[in-house]
Amino acid sequence: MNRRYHLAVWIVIASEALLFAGLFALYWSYRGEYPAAFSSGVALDIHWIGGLNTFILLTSSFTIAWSIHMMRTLRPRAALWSLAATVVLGLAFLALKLFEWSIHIHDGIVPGIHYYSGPAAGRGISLFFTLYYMMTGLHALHVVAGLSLVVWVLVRVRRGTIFPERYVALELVALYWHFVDVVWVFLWPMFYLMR
Amino acid sequence: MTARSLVFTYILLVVLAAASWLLADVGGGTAVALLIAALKTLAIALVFMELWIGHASDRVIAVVALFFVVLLCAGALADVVTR
Amino acid sequence: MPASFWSEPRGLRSWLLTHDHKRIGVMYLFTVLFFLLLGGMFALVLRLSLVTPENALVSAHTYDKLFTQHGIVMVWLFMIPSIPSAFGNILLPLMIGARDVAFPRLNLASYYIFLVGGIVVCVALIAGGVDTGWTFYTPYSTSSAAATNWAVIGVFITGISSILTGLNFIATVHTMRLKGMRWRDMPLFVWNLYSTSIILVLATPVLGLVLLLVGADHIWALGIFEPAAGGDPVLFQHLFWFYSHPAVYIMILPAMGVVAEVVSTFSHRRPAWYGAIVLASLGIALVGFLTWGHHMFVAGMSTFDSGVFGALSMLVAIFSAIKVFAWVSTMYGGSITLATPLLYVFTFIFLFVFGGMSGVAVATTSLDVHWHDTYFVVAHFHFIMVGGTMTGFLAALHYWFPKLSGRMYSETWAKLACAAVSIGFILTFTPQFLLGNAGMPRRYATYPAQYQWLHVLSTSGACLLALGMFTVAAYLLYAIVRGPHVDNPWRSASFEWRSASPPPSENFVDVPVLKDAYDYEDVP
Repeated sequence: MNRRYHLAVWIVIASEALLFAGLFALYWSYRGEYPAAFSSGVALDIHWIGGLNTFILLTSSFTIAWSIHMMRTLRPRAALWSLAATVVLGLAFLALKLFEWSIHIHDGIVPGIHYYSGPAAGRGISLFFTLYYMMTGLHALHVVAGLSLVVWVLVRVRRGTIFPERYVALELVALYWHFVDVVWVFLWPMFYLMR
Repeated sequence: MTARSLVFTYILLVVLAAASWLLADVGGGTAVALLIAALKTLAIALVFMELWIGHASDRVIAVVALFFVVLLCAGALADVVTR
Repeated sequence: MPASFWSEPRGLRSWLLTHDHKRIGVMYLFTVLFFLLLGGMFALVLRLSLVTPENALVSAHTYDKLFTQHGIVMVWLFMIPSIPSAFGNILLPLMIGARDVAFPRLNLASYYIFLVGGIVVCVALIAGGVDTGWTFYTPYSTSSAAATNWAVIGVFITGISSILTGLNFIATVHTMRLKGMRWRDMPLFVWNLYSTSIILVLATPVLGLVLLLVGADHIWALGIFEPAAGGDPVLFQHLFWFYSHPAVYIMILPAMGVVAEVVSTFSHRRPAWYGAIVLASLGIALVGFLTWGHHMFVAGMSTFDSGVFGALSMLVAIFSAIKVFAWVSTMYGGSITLATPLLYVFTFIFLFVFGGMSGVAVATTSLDVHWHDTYFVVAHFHFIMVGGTMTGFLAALHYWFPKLSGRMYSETWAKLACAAVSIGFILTFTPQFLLGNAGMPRRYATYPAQYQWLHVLSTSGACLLALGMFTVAAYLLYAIVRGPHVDNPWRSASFEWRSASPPPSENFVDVPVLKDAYDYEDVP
């Protein structure tokens, strides 16, 4: 019975990976066409936020994996704390993201070819930032979705409808959360490191 | 997964991220950054997502999906750079 | 004898909120038939308007809307869901001895999502119509009329339904086979549905994304494909065709599955080369993803990519050919029953072979330079989609009609209609190969006078085809109420025929005993 749900979540993850694939293809193609513009775009991104956000998401993957381990070793209260940490980390990620975007917007870095008025110029720079917003935006939506699921699981652990003999929902939500982390693992170098 | 494997994997991930950060400053380039990202993904997938100990069909799904993501990127990129 | 799934449980609510895969499949069936009629109407008007070179019937702009809307409705509202979502839903659990699919409520949701998507597309048709071509190429699609957005949203929504269906089928096949049924015991229709489902879950998201981009670009002028800002319209095509090429295998694989079942049943023989057909099905699903650039030979794509995609496109022909040989081998030496489903399969094989060969032709870059965007390509894909998928759908309809209704239709009328459909089809689309080769471009409302005779032939064929289709509807509807009662008129050994016709809600009264789905030594 559980096998069915596990399989379904992996299929969902595969589907979602293909959803992001189109954007990745656009990024790499445009980077191939405008390497200089993309490099300067990366240089303009706020690196400390990108780095911190990476650390945050990696840690949140650990905390949710830890909560499963706590469930398995019959420590549901510890699992609850671990889940709570995951939620806090996820919220921190989103908060930093919004903060980062607000800085960009203030500097005139906005999506869309007609609106960009940021510091760097040249063909391709507006494409870089449009892709930046689209990809981190789509990712952020997935963070929101994933976080909602984590909160749902957390509530169920609190209520006792998820417990050491039955915690499939926690495993499934964790899978999804790890996927969201993996997407960011690639977004980070693409938008913050490769200059 | 044991507590130890979880903690070790996390430490590995943080170390890889730090390496990525430092290499970028030095001018590591695209290939290095992507390679490190791939290693991190492998760690998360095999340990945190339990693909290593899980069902074969889950591994097949993951590999096939990854293959198609790379395929799409490669096809489009190849076009652009060979025009 | 238990009541059939039609009458038990009772009431409209029990239908609208059903979890029964057979009821959901039936709802899909009637819905896609409606869209078939709608798409067909667009085609008929389009063909009638082409009878005269100056197109006395419609303006050029209306013509653009006709072929666009014909394409959108036919591709996403009929072809993609027709066999898998209708027949697949009804038959898959029955064929593996299961009570239902893995996620029945998700199944119901997928139907309603499909319905909503279809309605939204209809809104586009009413809100001014879409004229971009079903392919939504940029930059026109991101700057054209507002109704385009409705169509884009509608198709996006149906895409979600596709993914959910594919997910359900894969999970069902993995986890709900009858105890003792190994993968290699599964019926070939199930293998083909499985292969189709792989494409459904992996290709459709890319369509979803690219439609999202078109919609976002339309509303907020993001310019991601805008040449003025360095954007590249060819990249739209890469993303679009990455889905749309595998999509045609979503359309043909289930039809091939039907063919395998019908060939086996009506030859009263186990399918030849079972393993080869299985591998070919999976092979088609995989290779289908490797070939998308062959739609873009003259779009501005590099010659390197053109070469690679042209070469890879040849691979599909290998798997398709293996299947054709396997089907013919199955019939050879079998005890043939020349009934309507098999006649449709003959039509399928004949037209699919020609359609496939013309596909290999247009996949050859140097030749496609001449044929691209002409009627030659139009003829090619209609041979496959109508000659292939449509006849497969008709074969399925006639093969499983007794299973679903417990009644039999008039074989005489069915054979007549089959002849009309087959001859009508050939008359409609063979002239189009000639038109295309002579240089007539597709999507043109008017043309030079010397092509008129070919267009008149084509339109006559379309009328005959339409007549045949309406005849099918007529005698099938008649048979539902007046046909003689039957149970397993084809003496098929396949699993779905072991339950009553029509089946009860829970599919099998007792837990089915595993037997060979193709054991014709046992069935007299």
